[in-house]
Amino acid sequence: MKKYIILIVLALAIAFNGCTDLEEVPYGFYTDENFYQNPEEAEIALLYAYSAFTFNEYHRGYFDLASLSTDVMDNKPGELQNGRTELDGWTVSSNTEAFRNFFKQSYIGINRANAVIDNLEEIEFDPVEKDQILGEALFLKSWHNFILVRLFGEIPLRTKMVTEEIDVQTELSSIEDIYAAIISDLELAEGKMTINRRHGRADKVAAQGLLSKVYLTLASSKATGVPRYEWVSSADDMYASAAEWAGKVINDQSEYGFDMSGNIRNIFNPNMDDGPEHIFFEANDVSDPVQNPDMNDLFLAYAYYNPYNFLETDGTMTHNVTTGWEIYRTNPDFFATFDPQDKRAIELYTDKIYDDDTVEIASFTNWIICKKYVDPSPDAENWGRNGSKILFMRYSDIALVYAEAMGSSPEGYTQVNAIRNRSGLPDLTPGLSDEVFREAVFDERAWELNFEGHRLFELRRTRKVVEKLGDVDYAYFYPLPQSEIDLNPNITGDEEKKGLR
Amino acid sequence: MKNRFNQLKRIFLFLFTFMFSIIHAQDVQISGKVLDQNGNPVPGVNIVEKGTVNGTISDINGNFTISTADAYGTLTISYVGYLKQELPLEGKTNVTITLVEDFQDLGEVVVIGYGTVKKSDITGAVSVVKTEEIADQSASKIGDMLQGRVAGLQINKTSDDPNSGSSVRIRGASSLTGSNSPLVVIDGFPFSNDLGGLKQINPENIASIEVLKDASASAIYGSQGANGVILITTKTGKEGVSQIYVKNQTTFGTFASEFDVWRDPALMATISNERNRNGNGKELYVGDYELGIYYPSIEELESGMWPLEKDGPAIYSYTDWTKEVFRDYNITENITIGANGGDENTKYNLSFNYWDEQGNVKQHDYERFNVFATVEQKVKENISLKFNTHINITDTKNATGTSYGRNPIFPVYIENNPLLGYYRTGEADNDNPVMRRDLILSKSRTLDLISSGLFSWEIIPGLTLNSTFSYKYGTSVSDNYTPDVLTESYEGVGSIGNYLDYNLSSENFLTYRKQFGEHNFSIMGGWTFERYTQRTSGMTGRDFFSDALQNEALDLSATDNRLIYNGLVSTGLESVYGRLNYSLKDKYLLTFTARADGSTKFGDNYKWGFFPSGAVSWKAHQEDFIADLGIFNELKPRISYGFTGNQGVSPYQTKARYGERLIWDGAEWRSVIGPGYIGSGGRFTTWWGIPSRDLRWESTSQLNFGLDLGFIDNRLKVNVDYYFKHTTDLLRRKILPPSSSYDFMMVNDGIINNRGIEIMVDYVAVNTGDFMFAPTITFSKNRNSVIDIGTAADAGLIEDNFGNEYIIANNNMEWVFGSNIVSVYALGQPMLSFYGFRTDGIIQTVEEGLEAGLSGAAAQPGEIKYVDLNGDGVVDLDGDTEDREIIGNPEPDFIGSLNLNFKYKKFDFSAFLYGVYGNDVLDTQKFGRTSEQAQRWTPDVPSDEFPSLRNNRGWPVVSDFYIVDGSYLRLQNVSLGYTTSIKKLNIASLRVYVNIYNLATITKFAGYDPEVGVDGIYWGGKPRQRTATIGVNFTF
Repeated sequence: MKKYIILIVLALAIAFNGCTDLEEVPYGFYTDENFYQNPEEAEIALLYAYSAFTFNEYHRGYFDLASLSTDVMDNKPGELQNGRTELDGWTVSSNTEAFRNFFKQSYIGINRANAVIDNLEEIEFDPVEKDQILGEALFLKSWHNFILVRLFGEIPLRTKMVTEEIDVQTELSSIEDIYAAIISDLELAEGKMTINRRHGRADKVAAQGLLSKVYLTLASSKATGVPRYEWVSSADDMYASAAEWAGKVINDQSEYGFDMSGNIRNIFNPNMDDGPEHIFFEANDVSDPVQNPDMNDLFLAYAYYNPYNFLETDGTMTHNVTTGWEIYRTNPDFFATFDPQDKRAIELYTDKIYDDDTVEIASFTNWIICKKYVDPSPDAENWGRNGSKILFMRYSDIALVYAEAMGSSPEGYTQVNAIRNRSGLPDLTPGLSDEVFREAVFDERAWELNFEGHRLFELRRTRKVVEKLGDVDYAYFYPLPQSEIDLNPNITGDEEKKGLR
Repeated sequence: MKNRFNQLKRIFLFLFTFMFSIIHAQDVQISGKVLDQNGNPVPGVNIVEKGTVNGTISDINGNFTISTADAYGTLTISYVGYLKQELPLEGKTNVTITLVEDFQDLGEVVVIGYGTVKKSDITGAVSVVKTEEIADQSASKIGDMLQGRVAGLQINKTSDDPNSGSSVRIRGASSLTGSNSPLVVIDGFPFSNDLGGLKQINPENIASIEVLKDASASAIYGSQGANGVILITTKTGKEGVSQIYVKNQTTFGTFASEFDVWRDPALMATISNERNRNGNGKELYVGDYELGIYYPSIEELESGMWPLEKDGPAIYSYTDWTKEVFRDYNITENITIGANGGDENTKYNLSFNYWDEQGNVKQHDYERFNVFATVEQKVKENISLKFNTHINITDTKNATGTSYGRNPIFPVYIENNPLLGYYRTGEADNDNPVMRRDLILSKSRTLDLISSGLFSWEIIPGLTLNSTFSYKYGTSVSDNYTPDVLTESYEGVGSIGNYLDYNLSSENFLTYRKQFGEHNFSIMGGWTFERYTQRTSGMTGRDFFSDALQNEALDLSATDNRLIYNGLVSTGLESVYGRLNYSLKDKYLLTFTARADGSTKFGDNYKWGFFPSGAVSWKAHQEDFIADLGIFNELKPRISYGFTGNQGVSPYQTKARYGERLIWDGAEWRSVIGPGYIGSGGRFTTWWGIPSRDLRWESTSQLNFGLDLGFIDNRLKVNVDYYFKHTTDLLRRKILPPSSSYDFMMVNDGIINNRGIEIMVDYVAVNTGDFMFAPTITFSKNRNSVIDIGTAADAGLIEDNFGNEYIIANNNMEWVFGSNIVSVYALGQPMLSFYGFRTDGIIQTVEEGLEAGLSGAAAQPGEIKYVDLNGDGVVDLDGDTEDREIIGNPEPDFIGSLNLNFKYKKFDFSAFLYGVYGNDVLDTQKFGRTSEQAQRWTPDVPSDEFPSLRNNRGWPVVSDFYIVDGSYLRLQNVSLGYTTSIKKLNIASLRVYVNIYNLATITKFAGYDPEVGVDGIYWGGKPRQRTATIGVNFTF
């Protein structure tokens, strides 16, 4: 009998053991085990890194942290989302919602760029294409690091992709080390890439432009004595480097240039994103089948869910503008600084909306609508789906970087005057001192690049935060998000940032 | 198992009888008949001459003959489920025996996991559902029938709609993110479905339901046992009986309470105008157009007739949308036809069920076809095979037009004329329920197949091998189409959704039973594997040039507006388990169980979990010194302790999962892939994807003290259980630092306790042959308490001014209250406690409002007076978290039921009462009801209960204003039946009955019905149903 039992047990053990194993096999999704196998996947992974820009956390933070917080933009009264009231009124703390959201979304971009960089080596393909992809990944990483270091100061420098729980915690790096990493990554990226204009992608010119901005930030911060930039060796050297890199953009290529088509709104028309100004912008299209970033809604007037029209300066109408949430409002005092003849003020801002019969629906008295993110041809059928996108870097920005870096010089005047003339303004007073010239460029940047995510950084790198915004806490660096402080034992809350003026 | 013992016994007896007939000359030939209390013959009854081994079995007509040595001897008559009788012959040669049902049969066998045990030998907490008590109910799903039937089993059913489920909890909930539903095992097949939604089994085919509650009972299911186990055994045929049965039920349903809608349009308009006026808004009902719709003035409404156009004819009148949306009454037909029977070698049960249910919403229909077949074949003396198959097909037409709250001044059709089309307030008005019902297609069809084969081999006496292979295959296809006219952004949207799951398991176990003198052993050991796979796919087409084909031709939709998706989830489990039962002198009982589970879902470092348990019990009534007291027929204390797991973990979390997104590359949208995928919930995106390599089961240890008592010849039985469940390694989200680029990962960290007491009382108060009265009482009380759910940093624990520490439990409340802080997990409190402000009536003067710390509009008369809990003189309703605290919880103080069973001759009557006491309900509809709005605060009639009407008050503020007592006592089922047999027509049994469900509910709750989901939140909906079922059962 015993042998029967043994036989049965054996038979069943053989029959059923090995039928299953406890290994979990993924289905319908990729993991680190089955991805990064070929050149196409490398590009897909790179585009995934770009797609980090297309989230509300990034969009909104991009405007909330650098524009809403400053003198150029006001918040819709009572609008609390993303900590906007705190940012507008400078009552921010480490718990301000936008800090965590934007901080995290930037690191998502960095992590995805690192994922490309870490895995590219293993994939075999055309070295030129491979270099381009590596260059773009390095560019994206530097882009985020550069914004983060200017927002928060000392941040964790992520040099490798986060793959396991053990990778989660890392130490803060010094501002000096972060800039060193940005510069070395960007210089490497610049060398790897070619001039290659593609929708929503960075190329060699974008890397040059970003490098010039990095050096200009160091130069002006050192020159004006911005706290925590004491380590910068020499302002003049930095200005020279900024001029060198911006000069490559201005003088050494012909793909990008000033948009002289005569209508300033063309620069911002999402349907004309192949214009000469477009060095680097967010990828988006009106036919978005997944989600509408609703970016223009934040700027537009609310009209009881009915589309309305803008009356343009040439007498034409921009039809079917989606009703918006009117959260981002142009500050009237800032708007008053425009020259009344300035085409930028006339063509890009309005305070009136109209119905189809050119009858005024509403006129706003204490704020002005900025039309930079208004898609003139939204998909009215589909909830006003629109193609508006953030212009991250455009030619005029780098031209002004070049001008500021060069100082009062013929090259500098050429760039500033080109922009002024395009806007219907006369040349800048000739023969200004470097200091006064740079002051003029500072003002020009505000008029030209308003609402494009630069203002806070301009104020910080020229040590003008207190002058323009008052005696505010966290003037030069925002506090790190509280969850970063809480969850990373290597980080303590840096209250001293509060005291920086 | 039991059946086979009986067979062996019978064969044994037969052989003995035969031998005796040879050896001894028989003196007296006795013939007789065995009947049950209804006069029906009972086959298979053992008749033995007392003091001998001479015996026989009654035949199919209940007849028997036996030769006895002594004409004045005694016959012993025994049959499972009936009282053992002794019949002195007193010289008679022809006897008739009427069996008396034994309601407290200690010989009863109870199914436990992987085997059976004599009920009297149970050491753990196992409850048996008396299926005959629930047989008259009209229910397509088992879960609906069990409410209140077992202490410790809490069932919440919130909807009477076809296809709606109920939530089932055994001894409280112990998981925040995993499942809290018990494991359901059907004929040994662990089922992926939870009991609340189990539609595949026709309740008519269920022979017994056992509920395993403590660790001793449920640990044999290891990592699936932490929420308790419900074992369902289906009916097989009986030896010697061949019968055809027909069961027919017709159920009529109506609403048990009135709809809360505006019956008086003038009052509605008055209230609306007052609300707008108080909020400085524009009054609507002034006899003018607003956004293209003509709103009559109050005067016009009071006249009962009003124009649609300003100067049009006065032809419109009030539309009662409830009449348009709902059926006056709804009918459910349920018919089962089957046959069962068998002989010594073959037993079978075949049944067919057709269920045709009307929902209470017009057009909402549900049909089900169910086929059940089981065949048990004895192949050799010691080998038997059994096959079970359930085939279940459902067809559902979904309700698509349900908004009965639509403004009653709107007509159904333009000018009340169907020829002119449906009335809409504008192009975007897609709310007309009649239009929706007529135009929207929404239906689904499911097919489920459950099949199992069991091989049972008694290798040597006492040693049995059982081997089961079970397979479930389920599919569903859903069809949806919304035509152009009802789709805002597209010209028609059509979709087809496909769902498929299959589940297979193989169970193999050996059981060895042996008795050595006073020692009785039963050892079981086995191994199993399970594989579960779920596949989904779907396609959506948008923008059709015509509605004619609906979703039949999705390829005719606009090419750039198609969506497709597909997915697969696959999990596997491998296990080894064993159990030892030992009893000494039939007094001291001991049980050990253990199971080791390996799951695909667990992390690399924790693939296998081990779940042991042990129990001891003492049949004290077997001791002479107890028996001598003459009080106890049963006195049996039990203690058990053990470990179970909850593997209700989502699969693939141990993987570094990548995400997808679309990005425009200048020419096309491209799918792109990389690290990080988007989780659900909340306004902002949450990112997951860091692998949880240490992920594992939630571990529950449970201590149980039980006492089984029997008095008065076991007519009064009392079972008391006290338990303490301690769940650790709670699965929860861990917050990651944002620089990691991830928001969360799952970790095992946290503690929840449940402790409680359960009492069941069965009392056969009267049991003469003709009359029986047997009440049953259940009582259960559970205390749930969150002990540890992580820290502020890694779990987001918030500490308030009053020492409460909590995390937000529900991220979807923002659209109701403007805040997600509504339901919370708070330390030391039951799960899903409510958090908010305290209120103190209604502000009557501005001074009173200001004094209370309120300001602005919130301090005006007619506003709710919120309490300044921290005493700082300020109550800020917007951002203020200073003045909020725990304001209630949905856990009942206790749940109880009382079942009164009466039988008089051929009549039976039962009344079943079910009550829940002491739970709080968050009534989101409070002050939304028409009757309450009429009681609003006004300067002339200042209420202290309800605030004023004001349209610009903003989000409702979460406060104890909305917390109400959810206690109720329901007369849930009343049943009256008559059972007889009609010999002329060859009807062995005929039963006619009426069963009324939800006859009456006593409650203070103001909404439609106080029975809400486990989160305690009441959403309004519609009234519950009251149903009357008329049933006829025939057995031929």
